[in-house]
Amino acid sequence: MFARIVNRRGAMSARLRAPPPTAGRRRAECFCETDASSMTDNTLTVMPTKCATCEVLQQAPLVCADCHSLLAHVQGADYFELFGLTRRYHIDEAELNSKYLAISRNIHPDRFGGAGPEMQSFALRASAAINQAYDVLRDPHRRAEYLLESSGGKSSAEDKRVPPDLLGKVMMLREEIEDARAGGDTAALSTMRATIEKDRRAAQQRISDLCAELTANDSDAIKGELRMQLNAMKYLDNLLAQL
Amino acid sequence: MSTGELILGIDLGTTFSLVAYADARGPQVIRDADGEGRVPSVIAFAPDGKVTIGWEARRHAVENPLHTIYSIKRLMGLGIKDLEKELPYLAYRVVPGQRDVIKIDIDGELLTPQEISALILRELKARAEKHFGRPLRKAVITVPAYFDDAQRQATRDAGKLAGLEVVRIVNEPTAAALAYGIGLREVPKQKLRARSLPIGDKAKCTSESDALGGSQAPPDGSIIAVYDLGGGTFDISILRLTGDVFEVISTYGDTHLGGDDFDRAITLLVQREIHEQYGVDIDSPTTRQALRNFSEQVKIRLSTEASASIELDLGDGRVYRRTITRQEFESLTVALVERTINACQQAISDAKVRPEQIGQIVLVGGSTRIPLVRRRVEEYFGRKPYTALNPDEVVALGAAVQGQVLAGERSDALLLDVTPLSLGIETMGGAMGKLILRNTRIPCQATEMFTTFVDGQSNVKINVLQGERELAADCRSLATFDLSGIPPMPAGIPKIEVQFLIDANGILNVTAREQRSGKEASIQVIPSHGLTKDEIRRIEEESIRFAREDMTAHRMIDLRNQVEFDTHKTEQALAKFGHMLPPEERLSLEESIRVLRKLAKSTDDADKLHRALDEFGKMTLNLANLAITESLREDSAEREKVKS
Ligand SMILES: Nc1ncnc2c1ncn2[C@@H]1O[C@H](COP(=O)(O)OP(=O)(O)OP(=O)(O)O)[C@@H](O)[C@H]1O
Ligand SMILES: [Mg+2]
Ligand SMILES: [Zn+2]
Repeated sequence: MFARIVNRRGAMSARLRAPPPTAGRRRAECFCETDASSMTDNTLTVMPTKCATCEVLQQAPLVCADCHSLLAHVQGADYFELFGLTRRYHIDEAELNSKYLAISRNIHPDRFGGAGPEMQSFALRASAAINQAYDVLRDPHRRAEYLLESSGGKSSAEDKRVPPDLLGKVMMLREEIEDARAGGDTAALSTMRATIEKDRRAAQQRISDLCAELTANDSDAIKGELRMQLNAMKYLDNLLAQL
Repeated sequence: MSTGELILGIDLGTTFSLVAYADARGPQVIRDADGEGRVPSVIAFAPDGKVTIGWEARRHAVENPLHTIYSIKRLMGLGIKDLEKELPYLAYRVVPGQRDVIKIDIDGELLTPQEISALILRELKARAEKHFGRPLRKAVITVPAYFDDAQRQATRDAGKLAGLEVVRIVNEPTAAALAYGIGLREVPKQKLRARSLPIGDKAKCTSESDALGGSQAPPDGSIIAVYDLGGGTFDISILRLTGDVFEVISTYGDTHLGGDDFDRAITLLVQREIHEQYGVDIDSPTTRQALRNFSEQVKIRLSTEASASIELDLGDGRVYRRTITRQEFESLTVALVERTINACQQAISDAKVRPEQIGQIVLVGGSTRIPLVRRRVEEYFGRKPYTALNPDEVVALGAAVQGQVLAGERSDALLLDVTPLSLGIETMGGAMGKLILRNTRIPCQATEMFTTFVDGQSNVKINVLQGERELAADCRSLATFDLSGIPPMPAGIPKIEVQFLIDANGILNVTAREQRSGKEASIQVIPSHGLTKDEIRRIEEESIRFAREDMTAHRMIDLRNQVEFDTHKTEQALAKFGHMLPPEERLSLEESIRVLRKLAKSTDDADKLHRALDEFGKMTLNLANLAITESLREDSAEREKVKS
């Protein structure tokens, strides 16, 4: 019964793969004309975009900052693209937030209080989509998951593999935590916390590197490796939550 | 994009309700002739069928306990099982209705909480219409942030039954934050004009001068907490203020924790002691109601005094007497206050901020006048809370500002709110499968795939839940969605995509599509605790007609009295100062008096009479000015005489 978000992302990645990212430009379905695509470190972006209504060039293909008409059907559009950000793991969170606020100022349903029902419903859906995208992008783990799945990688439900030594290590740590807790050994607990946090940082670094490689080289090996690291991260986070 | 239509801001409170509007001068509460903005959320049904609302109803509550409805907000959107703890304290009768809906039994007439709330809303609407002298129909209504979907829908339905178009449901603490933020922004301007603060009624609500310490627009990105303890509900919201954007980061609360519970602590103490001393249980509807009023008075006294003496005459020479100290009251209610502090902790941890990062704590709601509440809030956050707002009015003022935003009259404020509770569906085995987590920004969406289990199955039922618990049985069922019209296919083949969308009101909308056939599946919504569309339509048709007539009758009486008063005053002034007016003006005034009186007798159109009264008022302006100048002159002449 639980096909859930997995399916939705699957559907979306299919659309994103054709045309493949390397073949040309990727764009959301929108009313506006895409003017030009620029290339920065092998990443394709579709900015700037021209508003079909007033023809002003835009930084994000969602709403015209000038005449405020909604430009794109944002449902199913690429999350990075919605915010006019380069598709990569490293993002400037302050920039993301200020873009989010700027877009919200224009598309939030409150801005369409006097509009017709069609426009109101569009604003509602556009807002919901932008909020969803924002929630994913501002969380590093979900951001990496999104990069992986939207480039055709498997979801955590489809591929549960983890790095070979991880499971044994997690099991051992779990026992140690229980013992330390039973014995009230707070010193041991804080040492363990430090160890896990170190592992976590290492996994994070690896994820970051893999995401960078993924944008350059869309290979299954990298996707598989990234999937494993993301799965590992979940285990470590669960352990930390236990502490 | 201004719609040009005024949108009212309504705070539909457990104990008090208010209506406000905003224009270029800022938000204003609409007051009665005595300057009172609050309307008690009390409705009295007299045996002769007359319905009174507000102060009048509140005054007669004790004589008429079974027919006086109060705290109806605590019953909105709930079933009888949800109310087990509440019912023993109510003086009126509550009975189960269809599904999990409750009804109030007034001498055999059964009314839903929505219909009763609609009567309060109707009164507020009438108050605003009287103020503006024209019909108004659009409103923003506030609800506790922690209200679930059923409670929000019930509020919206109440608005509909009151003849209002509810443009938006806004969370009370968010509305308060908006009023707070806008108020600070407008301070410098106000200072220049040497006028009072636009927000609240300062003189009335605070003596602490330190409260003004923060009267400056907050720096960008600053975080505030709104602590709202009202008559029936508690909310804590954490917000980030960035320029014109009010971003709620997290919210937590309790829709059954408020001033009513503090009153109950005293009631329980008194009942217990009377039982111990005299072996009698005082628990008739009349005494319940009397004790309620009495306990509230004691509580309010203890906000300013160190102790209060109480005395209850039980008849037969038995008198219960005692002095209750503030300390005693605090020990009775400390557990309630701790519940609010725990909620603050939860909200802060959900917001992923530390208490010391919070730049301001804004107090809202009448119960924040309780000294223990202020003390504990100050201790917990480690700083003095901001009390320069009138805690009774700030929510309505914020709602009015939001009304202005929605009318397109103002674009310097945007509220980004969150959903207070996780939303999910009942999965096989009775678990709660979460689709949208609490504190997700709204509007938000989630999509889920469903399929069939039997060949040719054409219906799928989905039980939609709200809550944080793991088991479906421990969460609240919002509604059952019955998807029908699925084309016949072998089991497991249909793919029905169901989209759950929470809108900016925090209310769920569901759409479904069968993907293989591309057919929009039709959905029938059976709300667990609310009214169906048909039920609302029926109530609207039946009872509203009568309520509207009743209300118009009420307004006509007020207007006719006003006509009598105004024309009489004008006649008096004409007799005294008429000779100072040009003769044609005098004649035309005399004629207008006759015309207005005739209209008052002949018409039943309240709006028309209201307009005529307004016109008349304008015509008498000259005369009124004259009368004032003359009386001032007489007055000073008098004084001169006394001096010499
Ligand atoms: N001076 C005071 N000391 C203590 N409590 C007070 C004082 N003044 C008012 N209250 C209490 O405040 C409550 C009413 O507050 P308020 O008007 O903010 O509530 P409300 O908006 O009707 O309720 P809610 O927001 O919960 O729906 C009542 O319980 C009242 O007894
Ligand atoms: Mg309130
Ligand atoms: Zn444009």
